[in-house]
Amino acid sequence: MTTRSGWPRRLAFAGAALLALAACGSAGHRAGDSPSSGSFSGTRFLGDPATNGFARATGPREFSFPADHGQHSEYRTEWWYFTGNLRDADGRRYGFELTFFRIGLAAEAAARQSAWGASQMWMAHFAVTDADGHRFAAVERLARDALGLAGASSAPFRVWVKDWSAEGTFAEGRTDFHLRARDGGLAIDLRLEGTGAPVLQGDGGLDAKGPEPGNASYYYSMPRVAAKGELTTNGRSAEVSGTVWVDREWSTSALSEGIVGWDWFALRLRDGRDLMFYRLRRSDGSASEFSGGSLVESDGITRRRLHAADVDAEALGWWTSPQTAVRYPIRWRLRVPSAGVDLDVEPYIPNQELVLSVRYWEGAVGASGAGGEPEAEGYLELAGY
Amino acid sequence: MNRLLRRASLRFFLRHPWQLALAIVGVSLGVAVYVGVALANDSAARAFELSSAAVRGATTHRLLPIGGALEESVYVDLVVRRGIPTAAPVVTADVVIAGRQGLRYPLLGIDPLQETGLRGFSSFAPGGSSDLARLITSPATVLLPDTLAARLGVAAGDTVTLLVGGRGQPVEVVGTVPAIGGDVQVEPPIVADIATAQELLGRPGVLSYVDLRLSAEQAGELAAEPPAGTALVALDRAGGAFNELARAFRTNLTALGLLALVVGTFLIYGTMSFAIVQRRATLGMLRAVGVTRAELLGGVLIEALCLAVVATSLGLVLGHVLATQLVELVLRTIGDLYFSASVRAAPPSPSIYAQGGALGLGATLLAAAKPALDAARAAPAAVLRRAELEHRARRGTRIAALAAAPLLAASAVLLLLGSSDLYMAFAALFAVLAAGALLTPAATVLLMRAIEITGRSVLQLPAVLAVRGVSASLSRTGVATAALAVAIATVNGVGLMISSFRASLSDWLETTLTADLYVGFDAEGAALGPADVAAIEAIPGVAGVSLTRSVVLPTDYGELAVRGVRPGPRGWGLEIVSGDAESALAEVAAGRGLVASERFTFARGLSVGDQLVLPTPQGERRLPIVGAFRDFNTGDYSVVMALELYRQAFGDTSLTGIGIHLISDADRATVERAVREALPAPTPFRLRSSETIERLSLEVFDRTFKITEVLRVLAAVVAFLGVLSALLSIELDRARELAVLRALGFAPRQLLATLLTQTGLLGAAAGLAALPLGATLAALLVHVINRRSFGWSMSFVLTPGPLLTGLALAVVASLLAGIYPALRASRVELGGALREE
Repeated sequence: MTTRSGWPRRLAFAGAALLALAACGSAGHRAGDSPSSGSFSGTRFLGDPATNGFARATGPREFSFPADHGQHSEYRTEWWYFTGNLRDADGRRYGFELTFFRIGLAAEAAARQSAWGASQMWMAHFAVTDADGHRFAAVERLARDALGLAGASSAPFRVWVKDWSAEGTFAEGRTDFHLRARDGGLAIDLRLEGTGAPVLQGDGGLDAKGPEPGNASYYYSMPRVAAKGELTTNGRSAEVSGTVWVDREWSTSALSEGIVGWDWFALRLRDGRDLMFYRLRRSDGSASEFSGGSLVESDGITRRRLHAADVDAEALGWWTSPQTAVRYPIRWRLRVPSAGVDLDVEPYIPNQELVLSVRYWEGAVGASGAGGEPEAEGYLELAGY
Repeated sequence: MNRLLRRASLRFFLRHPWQLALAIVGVSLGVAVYVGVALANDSAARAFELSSAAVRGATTHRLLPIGGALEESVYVDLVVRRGIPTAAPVVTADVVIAGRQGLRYPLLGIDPLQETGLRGFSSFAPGGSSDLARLITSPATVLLPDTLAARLGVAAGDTVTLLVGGRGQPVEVVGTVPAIGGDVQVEPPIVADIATAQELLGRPGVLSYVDLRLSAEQAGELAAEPPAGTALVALDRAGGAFNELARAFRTNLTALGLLALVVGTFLIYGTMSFAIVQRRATLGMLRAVGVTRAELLGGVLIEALCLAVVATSLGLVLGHVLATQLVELVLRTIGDLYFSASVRAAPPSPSIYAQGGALGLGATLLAAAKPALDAARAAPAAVLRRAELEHRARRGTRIAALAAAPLLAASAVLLLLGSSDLYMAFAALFAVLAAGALLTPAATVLLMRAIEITGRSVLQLPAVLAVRGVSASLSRTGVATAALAVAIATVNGVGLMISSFRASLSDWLETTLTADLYVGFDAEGAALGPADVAAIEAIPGVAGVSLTRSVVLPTDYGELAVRGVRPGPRGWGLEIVSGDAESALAEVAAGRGLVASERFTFARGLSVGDQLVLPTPQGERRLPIVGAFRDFNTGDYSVVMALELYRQAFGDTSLTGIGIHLISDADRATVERAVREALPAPTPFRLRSSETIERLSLEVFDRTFKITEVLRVLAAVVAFLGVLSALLSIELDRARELAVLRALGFAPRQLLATLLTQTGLLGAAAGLAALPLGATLAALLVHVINRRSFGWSMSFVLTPGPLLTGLALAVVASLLAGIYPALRASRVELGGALREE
């Protein structure tokens, strides 16, 4: 209770991915599964916190770009997270998530004769929210790191899982991205105009989660990237533009004892500030004291680290998934009193649940101030329910 | 029912419990055999359907190589360039568990990450028994079917050795796979990661196939522009050689089951008519005291119905029990013949019980109708007279014999009309059997007269009495003899068919297996160059080799095994059954055409001269069929062309088989060793002698016909009961007559001899009548039923063995059935029996 370590958001995905993949075996997901199935009860797959030969995030790191956009396969898990809030020419609101996960299966790659031999796997999730059409769709790709089926490179930057990819061109300290994914009538082709240097989260990019060394991740974000391109939902394409939050994180860790999940907020405020906060949740629903985040000023440079005590997050409304019968807190009041932030966070639509190899809720949200006027937009992630 | 009538009926059966029991047993057995076979069939059919669905999972299509191998780059193209979301690569081949002779299992190499949404290996469950990460990342790791793991006594962490092409490959068991698919419980394969499977099987770079789940739109796009050298096959389409064969096999079994019911119906008819005959006095009296004909008719029918209800219920229970035994046999047979996966029975459809019940009741009522009408129609006085009865029975015998002629004609018409229809063929077969049954009583009378005339000087009185007794008691024995003849004919016919088939198969194996040793490679083929072949040819003792490349292609005719062959010193090993053998093989050798298996031409209505359209990597290719060859294979339909033509058409130089011909004084063991060494190391292969292949083939054949044997025995049991019932009736009915004989000075021993002679003669008559009937039946089975069912043509071999067995069976069954009644009759207490009337 007092000395348990906190954990970076989404970290348990790595293990949970394989775990849930296993649980689902084949037939996808059955409605009415018990709420606990597919939930990331923590360390099941990754087992004991032993690192099995993987490197750990133990000290400060000299970040170097574009090299660090590429993969760090000496660490067990890593992701490239793109979530954005978009509008088409008619002002229709959309949200999208395109994420690439790398999951190390073994620290040492065995010498293999077969080209299929692999020591890591990849998982990609693609979800689109059509706020005005009240539609949400999520699809997935899984592949092993072999035969060019999936992988990542830094120069030029490219991360891909089968036919989905994020590519980047790096120039003058700035990275432009090109996101592409398609599955049936759902597709995205989006160009991101890079901003300057990324925001290094935690302590200079080392996001320590507990007192023990190595219990940490390397974590940087690009909270406010302008995006333009084409979005296809339900087989209908539209020109869209908006802003994207890019998150990069890698580590070799697992959820600690007593932590069952997290609630993650990534919000761009109208006044130009960017707020990120992850609330690590104990089994009784209370927040762990190792929850944390950051507040970046409108200059995009000045950053203030947030600790559990700085933020007050209170769930206001719940939604029960008709598909899985899981109940998610989808409305929040998020306050950072010391920074004058008081937001009522509300999703575009309630159902933004991803029932894939991993089941979670991740959706586009808007936030209003005390007076009810729009104050922010961004993404909310609810995991471990 | 009239109360008087009801009481009379009840008392009659209470006083003759044996008769009641036999009638019930007769109907029960008939119903039981029919229901048993139908249930087993249905259960097996559903099991195969469900299990293939379970194995298939949600897979809708399969991408197969057209000749040669499927390059793994095709998969990358599918998912990365074309963006097909659900596509699972598979590398598969059979492996043998070392130290467990003959324990052969398919090894399925998959990418576990691509199974989501396709097949369900529930073993990948968390907390379950498999370590997915280890399976993917560690070489030489597998998941064993849990049943196999239990059988071998191994658990996760243990090592087992798989034999691949004779080479031992130790693999670590990292978990187990439970049976697939709920109810049916298909035994899963040995599962390995695809990389591991490629390594174990020595097949880096290639896949066996890719399983896909496609929308109609995706399927259309992919089929329109498939990756080079591949073909897209929809998996849910019905048909294919396997389904056709399995269906024909089940039709055959149903017919046999129906036959048992027919024999059972004879039994009911015999019992009921005898029960009427026996009660002629009572019935006459009832008529005399004013019971109407309608009441009498109704009374007898209700009596039959009561009997039918009890007997049919019993039959359903028995049938249920029988089915649980039979279904294993059916499954094993279908599995042996056409399916490699082992399958457990599925619950059959409950409607079969209703069907069996209706058949049992219907058959009993039908069988009782004539005796009931007889009872109702007769004038009171006539019913009373025994002589009138026998006179009518003899007239009936003549009428029955005359009625056989139109039946035989109908049978011939049926055969001619439906030239390939299986049901017509069965109808014809039943017509022949019915005609045989109708002719049997007349034949019996003729036979007895012949014995009497020829043996006039030799026969002693008891024998003469016995001979005359057979003809004189036709009202009671006629139907039993006919039933016995039909049953024995079935036994004969099926026996003859099996022996003909076995002889044909053996001949065919001799013709086909021209080489002495066979090296077999997996379906993907082994890449052996001319140098490798030359190395084998150079082995001392080797006279020459034949080369084969066999590949299963998805064609417009269904899946078709295309074989490219370069014959060895002893020729093609093909028996050409249509077309001129010499010129056909010359055309094939010259690469100007191909020969097709007889089964294939029969099933697809093709004939010599037709053009066959085959898909090749360069597009469609038309080749003329220059002949058809005999083929007792049960797998895919096949065609044979010259190896050079195959290579040129498909651009595939790998081999799936090498036949090695030895010089006469070669030392087999030395050659075998040298062959093993000559083959390049990572190629998995099997080396077997032609003798082994022949022995294994015949073993499978014998196992296959086990169920037919079981049904033969059941038919014989029903027939035996029929005879027993008839003989008991005679004894009961003739008590007085026999007592008179005793009173006249017949010793009990003489009486026993007379009665046993009589029953023996009865059996012999049935057995003799069954000889031509059985032979006809066999001819129909060989030339019509099997051909129409399976496309197999075989020579009809009339061996005396099965026929003599049938005759002996008939006589022995009759004698056995006669012992108890005869003993009873010979010990009859004189006074009582004489006083009775």
